[in-house]
Formats: sequence, C-alpha cells, structure tokens
Amino acid sequence: MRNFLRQAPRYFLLILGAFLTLYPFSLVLLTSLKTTRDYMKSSIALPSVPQFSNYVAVYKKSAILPGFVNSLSITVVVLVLEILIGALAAYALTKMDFRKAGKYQLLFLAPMILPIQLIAIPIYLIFVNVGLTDTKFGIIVVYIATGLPLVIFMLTSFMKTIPIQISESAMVEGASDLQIFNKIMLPLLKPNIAAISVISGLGVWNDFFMPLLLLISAKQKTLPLKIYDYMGQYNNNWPFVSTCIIYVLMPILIFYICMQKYIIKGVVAGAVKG
Amino acid sequence: MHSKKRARQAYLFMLPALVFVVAIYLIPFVCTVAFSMTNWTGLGFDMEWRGLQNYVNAFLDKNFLTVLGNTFVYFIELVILQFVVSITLAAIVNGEYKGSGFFRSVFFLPTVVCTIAVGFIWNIMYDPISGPIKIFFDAIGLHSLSSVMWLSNSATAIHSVSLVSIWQWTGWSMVIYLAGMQAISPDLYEAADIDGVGPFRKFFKITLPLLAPSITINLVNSTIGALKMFDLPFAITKGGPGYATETLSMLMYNYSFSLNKMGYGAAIAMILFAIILVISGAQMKALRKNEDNIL
Repeated sequence: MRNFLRQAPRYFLLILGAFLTLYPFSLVLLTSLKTTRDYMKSSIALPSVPQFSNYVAVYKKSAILPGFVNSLSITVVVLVLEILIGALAAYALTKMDFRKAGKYQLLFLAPMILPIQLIAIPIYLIFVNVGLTDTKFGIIVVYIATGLPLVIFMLTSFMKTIPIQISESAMVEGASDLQIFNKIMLPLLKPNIAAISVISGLGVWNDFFMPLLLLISAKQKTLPLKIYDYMGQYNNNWPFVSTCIIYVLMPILIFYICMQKYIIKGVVAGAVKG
Repeated sequence: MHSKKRARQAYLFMLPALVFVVAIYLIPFVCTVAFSMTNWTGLGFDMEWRGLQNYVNAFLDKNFLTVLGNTFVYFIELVILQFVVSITLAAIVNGEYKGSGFFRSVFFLPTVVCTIAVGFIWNIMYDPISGPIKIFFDAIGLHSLSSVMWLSNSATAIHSVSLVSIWQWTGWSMVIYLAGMQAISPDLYEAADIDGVGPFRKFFKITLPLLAPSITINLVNSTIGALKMFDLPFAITKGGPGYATETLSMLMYNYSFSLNKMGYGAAIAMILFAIILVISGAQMKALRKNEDNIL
C-alpha cells in the first residue's frame, strides 16, 4: 500500500499521458461506428447502436485494397533491394580493408542531410522525360536511393562490431568475400537487419511526398495518397473520414503490436551517433 | 596482387549503392543548384540565366517571408516543447513498475501512424462545432476558449499544428532518451541515495548531463524534421488560413509543381537546405562541445 502511494504520482501522470495519446484514436474508432445523424446528436458519446455500414460504404466507394497492395508491394521490394545493396556496400566499407573506405562512407552518409525537397524537382523532370512517373518501378528506385544512407549507416556500425578475425579465418580457409558476406555476415546480422527493415519500411509505407509527386493514376496510388484523395471527397463527413482512417490504421497497428521489439531497437540503433 | 584484386572487388561491392547515390542524389542536387539560377518553367527548354535573381526575389516576396517566419515558429516550438515533454515522459516511464512496457508502447504508437492520417484525426479533434476540444472547454466553462476556431484562426492555427506534431513525435524522442537513461550505471544513483540526494537533484545532476549524446541526437532530429515539415500542414490545414501554417517545403512544392515556376521553386529548396545546414550544423557543434565538457 505504501509502495503504491509512492508510485501514485507516477501512475497519475502516466495515465494522463496515455489518455492524451489514445483518446484521438478511440474518438475516431467510435465515430466510424456511428451514422451521420448519430454523430450530429453527440460527437463524443458512444454510438447508440454500433454499426458497420460506413465500413461497407467506404470499402465499396474507395479502392482501399488496391492501395494497400500497392503500398505493400512497393515497401517489400524496396526493403529487399536496399538491404542487399546497402549490406554489400557496408561489407566493402568495413571488411575488405580498402584504403578509401572513409571517403566513400562519407559519400554514402552525406545524403542524410539533403532534404528530399532539394532533389524533388530534377527527379520529377528526369522521370517525366524517361517515362518513369506513375510507375512503381520509378518510385521504388527513388525509395532505394533515399533509404540507402540510413541502411549503410546502421549496417556499417553493426558490422564493425563483428570481429575481423571471423572473416579473416574464413579467408584462410579459402572462402571468397561473396561467400563470407552470404554465409557469415548476413546470418550474423539477421536481428539487426530486422530492426533496420522495420524502421526503413515504416518510412516508405507512411511516405506521402514522393507518391504525391510521382504517382498520378488511381491504379498506382499508395495508401496515404488514396486516403488523402478520399478525405477531400468526404469533406467533413467525419464518420466516413473516421472509417477511412481506421482502414489505414488497422494494418499498421497489427504490425506495431507484432514487431514492437524490433521497432524500438531500430529507433535506438539508428540514433547511435556516427 | 591479392590485395589489389580485393580492392577492385570492393568497388564492385559498392557499385550498386554508388549508382543510386549518384543518380538520385548527386546529379539531381547539381541540377537543383543550376535550376535555381534560371527562370525555367519546367516545360520545354526555354530558359534564361538569372544568376542570383531568384534568391533576391524570394526575400522580396511577402509570401516567402511569411512562410520563412512560420518555419522558424515550427522550429522553436517543436524543438523546445518536444524536448521538455519527451525527456519528462522518459523520466516518468523509466524504472520498474507494473505496466511499464504498456505505457512505453502507448507513447510510441503515434509515431508509426502515417502523418496524413494524424492530420485528419486532429481535424476531427479541432472541429469548431463537434470537436472534443470545443466540448471540453464548454464543459469546464471556458467559453472564450471553446469558441476559438483553432485551425482557421490565423493567430492560433500554426500553434495548433505544432501541438499535433509534438503529440505525434514525442514518443520517438522518448524512446531514445529512455535508452540513454538505461545505459546510466545504477551505482551513480545508489551513491547519490547514500548521500541523501533527492529525486529532482538526481535528475538534474546525474541523468541530464549523462544524457548529453541522446539530447544531441534528438534536438538535431527534431530540428531537421521541423524545418522541412510538409505532410502534417498539408493534411491538416493545406497551409491555410492564407499562408499562416504553410512551410518552406510546401511553398517550394506549390511554386514548382502547381505554378510551374521550377527555377524559383529550386531557389526556395536551396534556401531551405542552407537553413537546415546552418542550424543543424551549429547545433551539432554546440552540443558536441557540451558533451565533451561533461564526459
């Protein structure tokens, strides 16, 4: 009891914080279960009868599912390629005792300070001229490039912690660099790669600026862009807007609950100063 | 011989990454520098060299100056408030007690949600007729506050948007502070306990100084995030009312892609870049020096 009293101020602040964090989400959930009339009567009360008609209506009117598939396929392809490309570069920078490693590392990390807006105009113009706007291929190429600096940064710092003796002794046994990379490094780095993928993947999944710039047709649009378009249409019909929001939140919530450990690990690892 | 072959192989390993960085960062960066000195519309190849005229024009453009001011308001508010809230939150969350994992997850949750959705969620919260914020102020009798149109009043709009950004990103900084706090040796606190040092003094004399590296990371992070903010104002107010919540990124986007003034847009992007470079560079220098003094 005394212990609890000592902890009481802490719990008070924690619960207050949790309420401020969660209330907007629960409001959206409740609103999505209301009819417009129900919402007009009271915006914050529980729905008089929870009903799912908004979900059916929004699903029918808006192509949520294709947007989801676009986002997912773009994210997965980007992750696989950027991790592979980034890991190869990180291996060269840390394990192949190669003299100019420091200079190249700087070259790979420098883009981290370039805001995407700085390269948006030329990328758009180049893509228009070579026909890469409104294609998944084009946006995947951009995401790989914009993701690489962080991936290389994190992977080089992880690889540095792997003792050089491991690759050297494999070398003595006659293994090639490609074999060492493939058979030793990648398996050893698995948990780190998981953390990087989660962080980098969230960035791609939630990105709005690049799809806004490069994707034009409804067929190609990713989830955030689709939602933005529908929100405009439903203008202040909050039960409909809320339903859209819940559709967007659901996959990321499930992902968050399952992958939390890796997400937090990734945030912390990405923050280690270079 | 062997090492020469290996060095060549190293280039081969780096080649794919190099291609991406050069094609998507370096070449476009050089192009932006060049465009920013032309009056190119982005259509056709008609363009005139204008030297630094676009840069000069920007500082004579009333809208640009408003937006530049907004960018600094976002910067100051986000960096200071997010620092105070997240480090306090980390101090409260840190430690062993029932539910610590739960609260940590809850506070981090908004950072994984796409910012566009966050913008719309807060549009509902701020609604001047049915929004819970209005209802709350009515319920506690503060009618002067309940009638404020938070997002469409040019005096309050930018602060209301800042608040949402802080709501969304505090958990991110908190997790980094928390990791920093857990790396501090418990011996230090035990020694302080023996000397009878109170919890506040412990926080300011032990925790805060030893968190210096985490503070550097978080401040630089939130600075860059605030300076180049785009998604949130785009979703929540579209930069309005007027230009009251617009950011440099949005202005650059509008000039380049809606008004076809690519040259001018590129100059704005360059100015944004210069601001980010100067501010985060100065911060990093000052904070690193601070770290060296402590550690």
